[in-house]
Formats: sequence, structure tokens, C-alpha cells
Amino acid sequence: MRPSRDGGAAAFDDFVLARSAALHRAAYLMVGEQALAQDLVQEALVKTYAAWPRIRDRSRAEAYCRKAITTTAISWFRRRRWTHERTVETMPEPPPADRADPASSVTQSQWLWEALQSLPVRQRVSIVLRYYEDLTEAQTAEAMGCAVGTVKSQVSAGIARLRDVLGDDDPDLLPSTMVVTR
Amino acid sequence: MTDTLKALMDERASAPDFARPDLDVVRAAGTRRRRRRRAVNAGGALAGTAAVTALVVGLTTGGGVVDAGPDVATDVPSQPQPLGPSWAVGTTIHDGDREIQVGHPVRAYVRTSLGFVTVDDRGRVWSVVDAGEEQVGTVDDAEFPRVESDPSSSLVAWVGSQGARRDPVAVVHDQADGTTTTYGLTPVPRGRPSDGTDPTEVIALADGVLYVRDDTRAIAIDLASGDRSVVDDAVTFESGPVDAAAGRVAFVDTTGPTFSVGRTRSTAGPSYAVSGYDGSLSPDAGFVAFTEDDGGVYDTATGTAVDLGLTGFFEPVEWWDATTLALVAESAPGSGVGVLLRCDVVAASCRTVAQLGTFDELGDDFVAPTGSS
Repeated sequence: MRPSRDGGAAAFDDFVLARSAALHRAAYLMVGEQALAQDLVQEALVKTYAAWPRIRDRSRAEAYCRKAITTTAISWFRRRRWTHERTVETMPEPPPADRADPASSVTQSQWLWEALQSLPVRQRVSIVLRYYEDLTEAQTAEAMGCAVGTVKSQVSAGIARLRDVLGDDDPDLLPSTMVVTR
Repeated sequence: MTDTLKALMDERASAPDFARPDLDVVRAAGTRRRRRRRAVNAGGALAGTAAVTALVVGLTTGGGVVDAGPDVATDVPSQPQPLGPSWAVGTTIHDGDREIQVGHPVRAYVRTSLGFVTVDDRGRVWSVVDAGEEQVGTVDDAEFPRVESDPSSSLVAWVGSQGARRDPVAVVHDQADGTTTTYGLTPVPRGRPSDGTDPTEVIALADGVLYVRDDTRAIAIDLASGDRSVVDDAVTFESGPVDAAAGRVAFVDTTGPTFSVGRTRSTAGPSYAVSGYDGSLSPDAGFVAFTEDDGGVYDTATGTAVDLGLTGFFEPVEWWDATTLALVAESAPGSGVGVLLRCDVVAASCRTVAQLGTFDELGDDFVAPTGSS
């Protein structure tokens, strides 16, 4: 089957319609704001469309767009110094760990969300890619444009920061595979 | 509750109601970005042009050459000329001091020793020489046309199609004698890529050898003998050949990104870190210039980046000889004003050969003689 004259554009449209919701969700986790996530995805889609002729294997389009989202997010935060504005030296105070209390669970969820958003952008992005997108370390490194070792260190540091506040009260809250030596 | 973090992220991520992206806006912005890159590439010569002579090349109807009169078409040089600034806008090809009017919009074009080969907005391939203009074929992908030439020869190549199934063929046209030769290629299996597009394209035409790739391998075709050899049997979206010159091929792995140079992928030299994804080899393959995102020039033997002493944005345009690279740079970081530089990559020095307007003023319709758009 040969391409129609507008085959590339039509394929791009199909890609956006099929995957934009998932891309938005990941972007939202990375930036923590709905409007900013939408701007981020729009920017990444523009980059993807501009590169569409090079994306010969269209099954790789999502990987390309995810990389655009990731690197653009990191770039935006670095450029705007949001890392310094949003990352705090002291993590949010954790709520009481009475997890049988529904209200407490909600509070715990809010705290963990705030803690996640307080991480430096690279740590936050690496955790989102590893534990939300379920990417391998190699895939995460590809999306972030860095080495696998960097991914390991960023994820480890991010989880460690979350554990620092959580303490050992709830060892199940964070991924058990990330045992951090303190 | 080992999945608590993931559960939290799932919960949070699914809460907002995200508006569907406006595809018209995305496509328009993406197209502008492509064209801006093209404009930056091609616009360098714009302000450097002093007196120009408007000429009209013979227009074609039905594929034959139509002589437009004694005063036209004669300004396309019949003899090889040194490469210098050239660009196209609309239906006009600018070449040095000449303006050559052709009868169709120029979506992509290349230079040859005898003139030009252009692709219009319908994918038609036109040979433009001193005798006039003639349609010589049609590219397979009109949306993203790509033709390749060796500016020191009269040959040009592109991927066309033939038969009821429109199987891809490599097409080589010789402007010297008007002959066109096709080389059969293996179609990619149905369903790969998933949208049915055939990714086969020409990579380079150099020293009588045509380089073609699809989504799994790249081959070299000796145009004199017809012999074929595989230069890369593991082409992927992320990695593969991007250019060839002097019997050597530049391979880029975009996951690094890195580049390596050699006769084949398996025998290519060490991989070196690079900034960019689409490289252009100098005619002797001694240097490679990357033209996307952050431009850069590298010594292919050592991987060493050539420090041209430039600050801020710059983007290579094309090689004028083995050591001379034309590039566009910003007059000052953040100024948005471009200048055309002629750089000696051995001496690592550049000089301004034209002052340009702002990049915004250069418009959306400029095309550089790179063969693609």
C-alpha cells in the first residue's frame, strides 16, 4: 500500500487522536498544572509534526513525542528557574499515617502529590516515566536524553527524598524495588 | 501496597479533563517550524544579492520542452559553475546574480552540473537546463519530496513508483542525454510501518553511486555496473545512513545522538557524540555538518567539533567545496537577524558575505537547494 498525498498528515491526525489523552496525563504528572500540561503537549506535538517526515516507523511516533514532552519540560523548568521556585529544601510535612481513616488517605494522597511536585524536575520526570509510564531504565534514558546511570541516580534520589519525609512508617508507599541506603 | 505511588499517579493523572489538541493549530505551527528551518537555510543569500537578472525558463506542457524564446532559458549555465549562494522562492530560482523563473512552485530542488532539478507541489520532477524545462518524472511522496544530485555531475535521483501496486523504484535521470533509468527496489511488507507509508528514499548520489534506504536496510547501487551492496542491514527509525560522499557513508544514531563514518555500518569508524540528527558530508567526507536543532561541524576522522568561533544560533546550509561551508548565523544572540557566513572549516574562520533581514521577514516559502522540504 502506497501513501496517499495526504497520508502523512492523516497518519499524524490518527496518532494525535489515539494518543493525546495518554500524553496529556503523563505531562500533567511532570508539571503538576493542567494548563501547563496542555501547553507542553501542544509544543511536543508541534515538534513531532515538524519531524514527521523523519519518523519513518510510525510506531515510534509516541516515543518521539514522549521524548519531546520530557526534554521540553526539563528545558522549560530550567529556563524559567522553576526548579528553584518549586523545589523546596524541606519536603511537605507528612500527615498522620492512620491509613484506615479515609480522610487520612486523602490527606496522604495530597501530601504525596505535593511531595512529588516538589522534587527537582529531572527526579520528578524520571519517576513519572519509570513508575507511571512503566518504562525501562533504558527507555527512560532515551526519553530524557541521558545515560541509564543518570536515570538510576535521579530515580534513586527522588525516591530517597520522598522516603526521607515518609520515614519507615509506611514502607509500602513507595516502590519496594527502590531500597535506598541512608 | 507497593503500587501506591503508581496508584496515586494514575488517580491524579486521570482527574483532569484535557481538551483535545487543535490539530489545525498543531499542523500549522509544525509546518511553520519546518519552513522556518528551510527559510533560515535558504535565506542567507537573500540580502547578498545585488543586481539580478530576471529570466524565464521555457515552460512545459505535456512533458515536452517548450522554448520560451531567444531571450530566455539561456542564462542557465550550460557548463558547471562553482557552487555559491542559491535559493528558491515561489516559482523563482535564485542562483548567484541570476533569477530563473520556472513554471511551477518550487517545493524542493537541487543543483547539477547542467542546471537544476525541481519538484513542484504536485510531486512532479522537472529538469531545468539552458534548453528549457521538462518534466522527467514524479516523486513517490509529494508531501515530503526528496531528490538527490551530485552537483559535479548531470545526474539526479529520486524514489518513484511503478506498476499497479506502485512498488518503489529508484529513478536516475541524466540531464546530459535526457535518459532515465529505474532500479527496482524491494517494497516494505504490507502493514509496516503501521500507516502503510513506504519509507524508501534516496540518501545520496555521489561519485556514480546511489544510496537508498528503507526502514530496515540501506543499499548502494553502482550506476555504471548496476551492482548493489548493502551498507546498513539494520536501519531503524533512530539510526541509519544520512549522507554519503567519496565512497563513505555517515551513519547517525539519534538515541545518542552519535555519528560514525565508513563504507558500511559494520565497518564504520568509532561513534562520536554529535549535536543534531541530519548530517551532511563534505565532498571528500572529511567533515560532517549537522543541520538540525543546534548546528555543528565535526572532523569525521577524530570526531572533534570544529570551533568556528560562533556564539548563539547558527545553522549549516551546504558545502561549497571540501572545506568551505555556508551557514546562517544570528548577527547577535537573540537578535533574530541573520547573516550569511562563508566558513573555512580547516582554518576555523568565518566571514560574513551577506547581511540578512530578520528571520521573520524571510518568509515561509524559501527553499534551499537541499533536495527536500
